[in-house]
Amino acid sequence: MALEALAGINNDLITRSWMASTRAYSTDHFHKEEDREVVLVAFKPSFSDKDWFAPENKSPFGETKMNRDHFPCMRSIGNDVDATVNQAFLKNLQVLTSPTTSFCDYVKTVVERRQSQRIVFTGHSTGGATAILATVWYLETYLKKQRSVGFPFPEPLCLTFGAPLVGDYVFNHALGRENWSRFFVNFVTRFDVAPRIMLSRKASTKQAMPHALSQLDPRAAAIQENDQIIAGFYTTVMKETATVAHQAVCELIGYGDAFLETFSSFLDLSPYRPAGTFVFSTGTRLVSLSNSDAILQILFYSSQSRNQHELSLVPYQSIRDHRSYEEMVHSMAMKPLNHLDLHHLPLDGDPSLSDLGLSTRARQCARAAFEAEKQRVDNQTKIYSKLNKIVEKLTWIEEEYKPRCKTHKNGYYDSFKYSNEEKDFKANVNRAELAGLFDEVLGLVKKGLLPDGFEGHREWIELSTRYRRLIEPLDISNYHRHLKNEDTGPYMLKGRPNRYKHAQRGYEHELLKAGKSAEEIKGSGCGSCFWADVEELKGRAYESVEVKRFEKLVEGWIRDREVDDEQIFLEGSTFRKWWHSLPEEHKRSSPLREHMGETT
Amino acid sequence: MDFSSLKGFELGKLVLSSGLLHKSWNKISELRASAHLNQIPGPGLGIKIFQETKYTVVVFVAPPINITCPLHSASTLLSGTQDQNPFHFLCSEKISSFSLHTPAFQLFLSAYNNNLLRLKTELLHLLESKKPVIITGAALGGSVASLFTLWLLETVEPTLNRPLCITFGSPLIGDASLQQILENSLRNSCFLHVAYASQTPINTDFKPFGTFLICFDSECICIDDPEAVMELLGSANTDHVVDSIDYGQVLARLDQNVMEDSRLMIDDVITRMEERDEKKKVRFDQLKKLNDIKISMIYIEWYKKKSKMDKIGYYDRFKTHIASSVSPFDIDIEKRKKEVNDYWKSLVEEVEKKPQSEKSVLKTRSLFSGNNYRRMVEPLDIAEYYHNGGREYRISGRSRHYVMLEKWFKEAKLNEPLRGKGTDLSELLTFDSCFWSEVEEALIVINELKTQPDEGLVGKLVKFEEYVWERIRTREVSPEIFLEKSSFMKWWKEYKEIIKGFHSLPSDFTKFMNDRMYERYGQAC
Repeated sequence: MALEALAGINNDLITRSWMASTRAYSTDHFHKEEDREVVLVAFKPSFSDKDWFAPENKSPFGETKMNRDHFPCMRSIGNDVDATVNQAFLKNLQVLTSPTTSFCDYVKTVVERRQSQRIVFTGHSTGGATAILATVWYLETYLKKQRSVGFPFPEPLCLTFGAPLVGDYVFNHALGRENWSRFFVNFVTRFDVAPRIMLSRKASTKQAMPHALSQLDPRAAAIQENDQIIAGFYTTVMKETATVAHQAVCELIGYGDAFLETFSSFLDLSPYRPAGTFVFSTGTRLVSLSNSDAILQILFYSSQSRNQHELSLVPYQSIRDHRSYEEMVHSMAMKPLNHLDLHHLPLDGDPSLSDLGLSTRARQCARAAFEAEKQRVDNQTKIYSKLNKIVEKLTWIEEEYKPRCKTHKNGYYDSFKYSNEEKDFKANVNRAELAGLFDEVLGLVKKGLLPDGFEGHREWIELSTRYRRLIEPLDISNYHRHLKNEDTGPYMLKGRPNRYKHAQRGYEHELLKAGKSAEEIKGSGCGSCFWADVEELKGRAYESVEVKRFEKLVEGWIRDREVDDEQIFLEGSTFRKWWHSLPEEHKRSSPLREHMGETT
Repeated sequence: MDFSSLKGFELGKLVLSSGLLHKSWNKISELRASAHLNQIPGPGLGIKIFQETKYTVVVFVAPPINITCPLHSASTLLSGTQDQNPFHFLCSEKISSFSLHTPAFQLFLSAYNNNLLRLKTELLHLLESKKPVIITGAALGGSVASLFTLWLLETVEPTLNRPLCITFGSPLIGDASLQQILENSLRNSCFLHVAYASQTPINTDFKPFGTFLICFDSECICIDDPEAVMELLGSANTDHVVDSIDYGQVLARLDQNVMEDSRLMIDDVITRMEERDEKKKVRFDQLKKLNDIKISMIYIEWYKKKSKMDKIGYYDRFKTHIASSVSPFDIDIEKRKKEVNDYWKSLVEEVEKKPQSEKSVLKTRSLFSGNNYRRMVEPLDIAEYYHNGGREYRISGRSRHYVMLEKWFKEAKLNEPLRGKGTDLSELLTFDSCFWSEVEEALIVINELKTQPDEGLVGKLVKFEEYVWERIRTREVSPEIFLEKSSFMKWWKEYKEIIKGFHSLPSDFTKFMNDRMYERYGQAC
């Protein structure tokens, strides 16, 4: 079956995961089973409404931000915002990872045993939601430390069945950036209402929730076909899902439309979005895709019907479908799988789409989602084609400009400040051209017009770090020689371009993943802003504590190669001149004495 | 894949499924019903505020349009000062007047004179407390609602949530000038006009603005392109009395058919709309161009520096170059000068199109760059002007965009760094970008004096001397003017000779120059 090629999972694994998920019903928190190579952890679902929408939560969709200290990867580096998730599900994870359960210890044992190749987190309904967050927890705790520890950890896999949506677009973006999306596979039977519930406001479904949830529970009795509460519940959920879907596709197509913005401000729209791969199951086939925007459109359109009679039956089907994963799992082997992606776009006559009940309009919306994805890939290609130019300019600065300034005993910061020669002029043009290129990239990143993985590419991170260390001093020099620190304000407060702040965030994120602690990173400041600090200190009276702290930071920066110690200590440099103006007692005990070549 | 029609349909579906239209229409019906029961005082305009939990709805109800009345499609021209025109703030430098639909305007005026201000203040409070506001009305009531919203928007800060004006079957209220003013403004996004295609009359003297939800029997589409709106509504039969359309029913029909695929045959309208869109896209992309311009400015800065090193000053170097080309470097500078000029001219034009109160959209950074550009590049334009035989640059030769940049910079009252006694002025650009035109005028006077002595002319030179001395004293002039080969020094040499004949005490300026104190001007101490 093609699903294997897709996610490296076979029928057998899916069946076993499903069986484990059913066994989880009778546990307190989770059920575990293992064989030689694979460990399965299935989480217990809940059909109590307080476990779907946390009662103490005041937000319209029961959402809350993820804590940056516990989940440092789950945020957007470009826009510097944390991911949003459903608070009830997050609370459940917190209980799970607390000492009251044996979950953390169990995972630790599995990892240290070094025997298993794979650890599967799975669950049905909210058990699936817990599985998603548990996988994120596992990734944050173990996988990213892989580089520093040395031995490989078991690769995670998250298989969910009829799970509600858990996180927002930032959550989805973070998974993409870290290249973790590939670990998440969500099975959804066509009409199952559970994945759609989070697209509607909790206030709208509050009344009907307890009854609806009790019906969703597979252990409950058969559904009554004239159950009005269910019909009402379903209609409410789908109406609000419609609004979310329409608004999402309008945003995809009409980027920057002011009317859409004004109008959207009057709506309460669900922040939740699909993450990972979704596999939709109909009576005759399976359709899988990973494009979050397209999945959202299909979640809406596949549950619609043009046939009036069918339409009246759908609400009950939506409950039944949530209980029919057993059937789905057992019939999977016989169904063909269609995977939709940029290379296999849904064409008009495609049976896979008609099986899902998608109208022409629906297909157009799905196409729009794929078009947007293609646009993102194209944007990335365009940027990569400019990489050579960037490297060329950086190399010129590094290998020609800097050494030439060194021979004049000035250092390139000061040489640029006075700009008396042709080479300084050329450096200035280079600086401005690079600024344009990096600003363009940042603009695309912030608007989500690049693939999620872009900011995670090694090549890009290294290039932007090199750019920041090499060129920020020139931008600082330019700022101060135009006296902007006097009319606009200090560089660090008012003048620092966003492209450098972004590059720094990306760099710090890498340090975090390599094992450095957040406090340590914060405490070491920013080495590429060295010259800005010098200019500020120069303008103030000597203050012992401040200067000592600065010198300590400089030592760290020299060690981390954030400043070039071959440049900053040159005779003609502003830094050296200022340092020499410091009081004697300070200089005598300064750690930078030797660098300054103090010969009395 | 044609996405603009998809967007129109999806946006229509979004608007429909949001429930806002239904809510607004219900409130209008409610007010109308109660109006029947209690007579509304005044010339027939009813206004009510409904405070719902999620938002506030302000409803305007007006009497039906009287088609027999001769004024029913007339328009009123508005321009000028506050008293006559409550919408004066919409006028811009380019578009100073526009016309409104008379009946709508008259109704608005009657309420305006009757304490509409109180309503405005109340709504502003609500907006500040983050509660969303919807302003709505049907037919003429909708027209007045639109006028009221326009008026309200004058004082809504960009940081607040914008209000939304929803009208049902309202006649158009403004002409092409109004549409043009609003087209470049964020305010245009605050209007949603719901119109049932076959029954909404269109007055061809007016033009639509804002976004239209055009309803057919079983589907609807959102369009904001004015021409497309006119085309889609154009099939209307103007004899119907507009008020009698029950939009509640229109919306209900649309709800029923919402899952159907589109059966509309409007491809040609869409195609024409897309063509117009393409042309508009070529419009100005500020941010990207700004960086290219920064690079050209670096080249011009370098030109200035090189000229200084050659002891001539870039003003004079450019003057010489126009007379006879010096090098490829100079030719390149001419190109770059044109590039930056074109950029700033376009930018100023774009800003001028915006309604006056949105002018602060020119951010501080742009103001500083604009100022820097003006001080750096205007001298080159002055050089060209005088070389071509021009006179009186400030009055006859100065390009409008320089005037506007200078004006906006002054109005913003930004802080310029202090130029204390000891600061190094070597990088300073002369504050008055027209300085060199004054020098040129002084040189012209000197030449005239050679042919015929005249008290008045000498007086002009003295005035110029005072002007220069003041600039030197306040340290607002670049030290480059004192370079040997500069036009200014040329003037000084001649002026020195002229005043030799006078027996009055030497002024501070002449002392400064004679003692060669200018050599130390602008050096750091």
